Amino acid sequence: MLALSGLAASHAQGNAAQPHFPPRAKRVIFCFMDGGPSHVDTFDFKPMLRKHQGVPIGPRFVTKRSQSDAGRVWFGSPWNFARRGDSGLWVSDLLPSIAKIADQLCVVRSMVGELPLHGQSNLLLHTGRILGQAPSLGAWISYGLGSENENLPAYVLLNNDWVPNGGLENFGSSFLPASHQATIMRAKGNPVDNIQPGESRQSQQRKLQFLNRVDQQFAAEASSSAAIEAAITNYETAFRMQSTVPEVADISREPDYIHRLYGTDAADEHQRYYASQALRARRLIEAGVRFVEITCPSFDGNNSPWDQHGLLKQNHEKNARVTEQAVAALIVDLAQRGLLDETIVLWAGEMGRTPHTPAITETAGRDHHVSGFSLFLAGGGFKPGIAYGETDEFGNSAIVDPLTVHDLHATMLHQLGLDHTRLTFRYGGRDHRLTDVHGNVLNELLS
Amino acid sequence: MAMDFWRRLVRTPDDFGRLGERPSHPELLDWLAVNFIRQGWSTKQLVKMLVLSQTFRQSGQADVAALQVDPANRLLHHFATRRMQAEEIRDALLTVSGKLDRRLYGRPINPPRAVEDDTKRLFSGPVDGHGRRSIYLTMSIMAPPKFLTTFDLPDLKLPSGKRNVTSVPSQALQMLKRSAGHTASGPMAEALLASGYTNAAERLGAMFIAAYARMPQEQERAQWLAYVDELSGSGDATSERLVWSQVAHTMFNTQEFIYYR
Repeated sequence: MLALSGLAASHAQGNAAQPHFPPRAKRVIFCFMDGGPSHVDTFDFKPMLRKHQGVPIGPRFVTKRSQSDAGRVWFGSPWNFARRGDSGLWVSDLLPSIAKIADQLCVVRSMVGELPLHGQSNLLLHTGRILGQAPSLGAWISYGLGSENENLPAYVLLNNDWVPNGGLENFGSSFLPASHQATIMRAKGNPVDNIQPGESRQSQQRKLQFLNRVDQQFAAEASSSAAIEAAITNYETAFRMQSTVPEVADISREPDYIHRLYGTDAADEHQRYYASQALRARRLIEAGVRFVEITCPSFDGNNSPWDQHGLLKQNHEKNARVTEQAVAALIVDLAQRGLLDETIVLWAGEMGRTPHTPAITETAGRDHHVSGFSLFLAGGGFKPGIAYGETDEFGNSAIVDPLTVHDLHATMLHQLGLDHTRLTFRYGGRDHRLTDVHGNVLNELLS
Repeated sequence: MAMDFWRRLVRTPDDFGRLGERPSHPELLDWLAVNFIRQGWSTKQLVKMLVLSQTFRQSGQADVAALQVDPANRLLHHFATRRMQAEEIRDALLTVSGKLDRRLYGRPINPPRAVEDDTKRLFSGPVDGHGRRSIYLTMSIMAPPKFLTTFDLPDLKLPSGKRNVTSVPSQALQMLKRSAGHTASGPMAEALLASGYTNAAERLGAMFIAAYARMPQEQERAQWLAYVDELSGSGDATSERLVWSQVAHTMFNTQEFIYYR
């Protein structure tokens, strides 16, 4: 299994390319809910909010981890909640398809972030540091485990050239070798940059054969040939990728029932886009990709889709319509294929949303909030049908079992067979790791 | 590039001092430091002195006996084979195609982007950058120029004394790509055909000088001329311009094009 990193040169001091202990899971699909879906409107049922609708929150509930002030008022959820499935997990009507599979979900309701800002929170979620300057979760996993398929990258980002808050650094490799950064795959047109050859296959093959000969001669004469030999191999790999990548990205031959399950034939074009990317994600992990991340489509010029400072009802509904059927479909599809147990599916935004608002109006929204928010995991050995942690009666702050992104990362790496304290890389005079100097593996989340 | 060569004096420039490696030539390093202060802290003068030095001007041919004593070239007995950095590769493509704009200063130019985003001030520029050197590309920490990141442009927020040199398929894909290579190979072919060289051997020689700074050896000339013949005879290159454009594109994709030795 040749990892796609080729022969990375330079100061690659670190342990890599195999798990530290037998893994429970082999791969991750991260459904990134960019902008921050509201926790009190999805998984964190807080009837007190409706009871105290319009009442000022007072100074006790003001925190630097939330865009808050004492004069803001409690804002009840526009959606009803119900207990779902055998587990009885509370899920709102905003996410009907996801509610149906509540018994598969490991919901976390006590996430705590550092700053209620997009860029920093995004970077924290993705790289473990609010300032970034560190590799992405996907890059660390690529570094730690390599790819199972030499013709595909280990880390694929299903995006459409959108740059999220915090920048492409969210998906980058930083000081890790560049082979570990995300390869962006689009839904339309050229799936991967430069993948369509600019000439006929015959013309290209002639060129590649000639290049191979010339480069072998050059390698023989060079004083350090390892990197050149790696480059020669990469031309061969690039040639193979030109057929492998489009083939994996092609969802057209999936059976009808799969298309209906995901919703690739939906009326809404953004929903069609997201459904096709979710289906692509399944195909990619089947082909051996380790880490697939799917970003939400931006629309109406809003590049943080879930960031509803206003128009909460209309736009959260829109975001839900675009994404939630496909997310549920992905989990169901993986389960049907016997892949869910070894695939960690993560549904998370970089923040939650304030359970309070400046004033109750038709167009009211919720603002940034990281003092207590929700996310869920499915598969990969995470305990299904449970809710871990709690926020206070207003959903304002995590009060039972608070955890951070570092704990989440440590636990995910653990399931992949990686000890987060041992997956390190030396840079700038010290050993770095995804969790920096933090993080605990939370066994209560695991089955 | 000068700094990179001389960085071999200390192999760990990101850990300069107690945590890093000891320098290979400590007295030389001290002398350089003292001299730097004495001459008035001019980086320009320092660089000029380094590139005019005998050590720096050595050829890349390694002496067999010397290699046996010092295979890692710690003592700088020849100019080590190393790959060009991202900006150098882009600038080299501009240079050989005759498109390089050598003017200094002026407004920066945006790199090409698939999608613009004015909330993040991410705008798109021409693929050939109007010939401007890479140093004039607008650097956005949100989304740095793709051509450069493919060739190990470091994370713009991280101070990097020494760049990674990775070898990845995306580099091959990028160089094989129509626009990256062909934006240079077309103009290079045109310039070649306009230059007055009429026979293939002469044209090949001119291209070797431009791309590799040397003339081809006998066996290489034969090999490349056979390739030219094959291209001319195939259905894929239906004009002289297309044939030589393919030859240029092939040259840009050889490892020698992006390596120093």
